[in-house]
Amino acid sequence: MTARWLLALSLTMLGGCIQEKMEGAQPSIAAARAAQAFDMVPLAVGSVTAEPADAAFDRHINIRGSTMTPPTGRFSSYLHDVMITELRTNGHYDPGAPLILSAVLTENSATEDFKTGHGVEVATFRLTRGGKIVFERSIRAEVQWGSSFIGAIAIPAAFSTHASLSNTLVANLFANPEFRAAAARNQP
Amino acid sequence: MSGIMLRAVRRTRLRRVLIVAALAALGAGPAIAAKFYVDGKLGNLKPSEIVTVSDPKPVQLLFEFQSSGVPNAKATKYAKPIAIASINQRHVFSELSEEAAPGRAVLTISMNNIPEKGAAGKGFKTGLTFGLAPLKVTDSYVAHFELLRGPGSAPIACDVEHALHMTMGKGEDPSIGVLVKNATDGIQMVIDQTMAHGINCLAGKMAAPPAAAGQ
Repeated sequence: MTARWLLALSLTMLGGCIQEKMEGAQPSIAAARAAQAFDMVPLAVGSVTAEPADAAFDRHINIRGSTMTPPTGRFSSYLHDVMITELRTNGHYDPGAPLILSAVLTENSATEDFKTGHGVEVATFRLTRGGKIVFERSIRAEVQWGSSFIGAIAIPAAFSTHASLSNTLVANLFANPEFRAAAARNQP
Repeated sequence: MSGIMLRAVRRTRLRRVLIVAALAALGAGPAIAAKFYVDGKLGNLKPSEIVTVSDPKPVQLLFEFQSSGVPNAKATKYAKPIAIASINQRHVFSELSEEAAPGRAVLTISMNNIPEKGAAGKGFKTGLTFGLAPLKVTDSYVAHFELLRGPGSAPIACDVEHALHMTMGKGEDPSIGVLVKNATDGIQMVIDQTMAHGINCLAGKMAAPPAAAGQ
């Protein structure tokens, strides 16, 4: 019993809400691999918004009362930055390109049950050329992580893992066969 | 531990903080100091092992620190400058750039931190027994190096494994590894030695005949 009280005391000392801001967009190996697998034309990046426009999931995610916010205030804005970063890193970004990639973020969540965490991000990506849609598809990214009863482990695990989802979303887009067909240099 | 370190490698750091805080909550903190050891298997490159590249070329670097296989942006931000400094010391590449350039080779490095399962539970046990149950936890690191020298070329790959150990409630034990001052020094040494061995391995394969290089 004494041990339980001591454990509870330890956990209390480690409690408290965390307000964490994500790092700025960085390139990922997964997106680079997917981009290297086909000959992509340079793309411009258009608007990236959330649907609905005032969605709470666009502003933050919550785990056990702690909050993670994107560096520029909105996850849709962060996804915009990630799209540019991934394209630029792989030599496929051209702000003046006729083919424009845009997106609408439709889902963004993080949940956990003290053992396992689960993050989801979904966006509809669109490629347009001269105002005409040449590709439109909903792309999903999911990630799981080992969670814990102890908040000091569970919360940062959730935040650091969930923060990778926008990169995974772009990697999944680059790997999508229909996207590759629409963005390839030598289309059939 | 420095402020930068507190933000970076967060999951690893919090596990250690958790253990130390548990001990502090029990009033046992001052009596049980944490010791950090860099695993001794890898070590520094011996002069006879170093591969010299006669015609270093520029390369685009893509470095990613992962936690249990998932990209960790904060840890990447912390570890990347250490990795770049270490790679530059090897003089295998004439220039490291993160920007793409036509025809430039691409060096991809993932450094995956695999924490030991149940480490926090071990910490509580050590605290609850006031150090009578000594603690040893290990952070393992698996790094994958891949060099793509051009479109259509076969990638050259090398893998390096390393580890950082932490003990509590134990005296110094040189058999565990190289004792370092703190976790920050330990992680920096782990990254430095990992990069040195990985880049040296790539240099050896770059110098080898094409048929053997991809193996």
